[in-house]
Amino acid sequence: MSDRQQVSIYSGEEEVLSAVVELRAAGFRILEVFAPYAVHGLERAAGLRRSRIGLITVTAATIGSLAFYFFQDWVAAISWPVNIGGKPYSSAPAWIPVVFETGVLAAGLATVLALFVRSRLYPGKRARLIDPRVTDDRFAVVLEIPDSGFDVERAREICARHGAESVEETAVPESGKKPRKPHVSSLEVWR
Amino acid sequence: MSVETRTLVTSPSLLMPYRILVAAGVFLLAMGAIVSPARLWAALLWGGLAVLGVGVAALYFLAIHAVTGAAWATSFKRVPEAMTSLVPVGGLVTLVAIALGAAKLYPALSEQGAESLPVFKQMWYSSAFYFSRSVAYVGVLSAFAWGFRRISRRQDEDRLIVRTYQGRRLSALFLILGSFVVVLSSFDWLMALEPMWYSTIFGVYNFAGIFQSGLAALLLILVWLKRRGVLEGEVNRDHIQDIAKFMFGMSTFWMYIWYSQYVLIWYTNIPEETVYFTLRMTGSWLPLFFLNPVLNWVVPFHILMARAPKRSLTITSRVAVVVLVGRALDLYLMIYPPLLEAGPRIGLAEVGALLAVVGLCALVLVRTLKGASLVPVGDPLLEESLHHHQ
Repeated sequence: MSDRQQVSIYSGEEEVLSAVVELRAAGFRILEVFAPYAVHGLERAAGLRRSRIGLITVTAATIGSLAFYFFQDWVAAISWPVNIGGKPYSSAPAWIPVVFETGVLAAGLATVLALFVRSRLYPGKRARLIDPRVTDDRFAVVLEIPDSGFDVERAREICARHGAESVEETAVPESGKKPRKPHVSSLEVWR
Repeated sequence: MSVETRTLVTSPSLLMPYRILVAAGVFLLAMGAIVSPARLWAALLWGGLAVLGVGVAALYFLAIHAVTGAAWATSFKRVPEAMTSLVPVGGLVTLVAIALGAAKLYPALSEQGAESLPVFKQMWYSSAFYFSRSVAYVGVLSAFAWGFRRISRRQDEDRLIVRTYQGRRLSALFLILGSFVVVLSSFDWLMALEPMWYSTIFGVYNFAGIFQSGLAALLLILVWLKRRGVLEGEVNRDHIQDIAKFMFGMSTFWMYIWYSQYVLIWYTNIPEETVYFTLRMTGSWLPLFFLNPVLNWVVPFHILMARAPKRSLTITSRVAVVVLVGRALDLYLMIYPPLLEAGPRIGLAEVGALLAVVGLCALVLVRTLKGASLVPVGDPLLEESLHHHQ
């Protein structure tokens, strides 16, 4: 594993998009792209995998719905049967609103929690930004510099041609682990 | 990127099957009129309302996008615009059905039936008021359909931004006025089939079914055009995914309203309200009653939940067919139970109405599509729409 990376800074989304496209085509490995807001088409250009967070949402929704269907059934028909308007104790139509609400609640909470866990966002976490300006008006592309075979001049040339304001090779921040896969987010926290 | 004016070209052989469908449908309707004249008008009402609904849904689709300033659907907006031409067609069939079949369909409009009604309902269903209202509904909706198309087509020529604002104003007016028409007409044309029964959410329930079926029809037409290489560049996978998403959302909305209507009536358990569901949940109506939410919600919801199916032309168009069948079943369950005491029947008239509806829709749509450029070249939002992506 390499401990070095190349960071190039851009001032516009068109520049960063075209740079990413050409860098990838030239065979460089993109570790991260930082942007102050979600740039349309950047995920596709950087060749990123789709998030699998939907699987967590659908699983939590299913569990939340089913659990509270059976909970209501247990309360109303087994634990404490009460005759309400002469309806059967176990009346599915009456359970639906709660089933819907708990499904939505479980899905929402699980999705947010999964995001926090996966991004390692915990209370008191200090943001480490590759450049403070990426939360304001600048875009940054981070390339991996492998131990051998990295053509610095070629990379610099491509970045410059697409309007990079600055290009520099730096060490990967000490404490931060390398991201396992490249990904983009609008307000990224540098690990 | 500049876009050229293009018009749809069709060979006569392309439309032949649809002409045959219409001819066969009309023939079966005529046969049905001889065999069981009572059901001819119900069949016409069924077919007419299905077509009218698809047209009204297209009006809503266009109006919502115009009012919110949404650009993604602009590149194919000529298709929903063509669908609005189904409004006068479906409206006319509906008017014929209620004008000629009123005595058989609507108890409130017959002498004996009206006597048992409260005074207000007697006045509301007095023949003159009822028929002039019905004509006004179709007239108002057709006028909006005409206005939407006219403004949009004129922009092709003069390319004035003012047309966009005119369309936006007309759309805002439609969303208010059109919604009154949809609610009142569903009371007058469907709820009046059982004049003693009432449900205040009935209009919203119908709106949900209308919009859902319109989105399904729009998706089918776009897939049909795309597969023939027309609109190939203008409709991309992201457009298809967004329409599928819209359909997914509206089918959940339909289920929500279906359930809202059902659960309140189930809960309060008042005989004059439960009579509607009792009729539909007894005997051989019961399987159809449960099939309705399956076709309209269970199938589209579970199939379209993931991303990949929403981007597949094959899967989305099959789901759209299921939704359209579901809409036909939904209307069938609103119209037929009070007329068919022996249980559900599909006769010559019903099959004829279905065939004629499909054929007629295709012919009218192609005709209107050919009347203007396929791409709205004068719309300032076109460029943004062509670059639409997720």
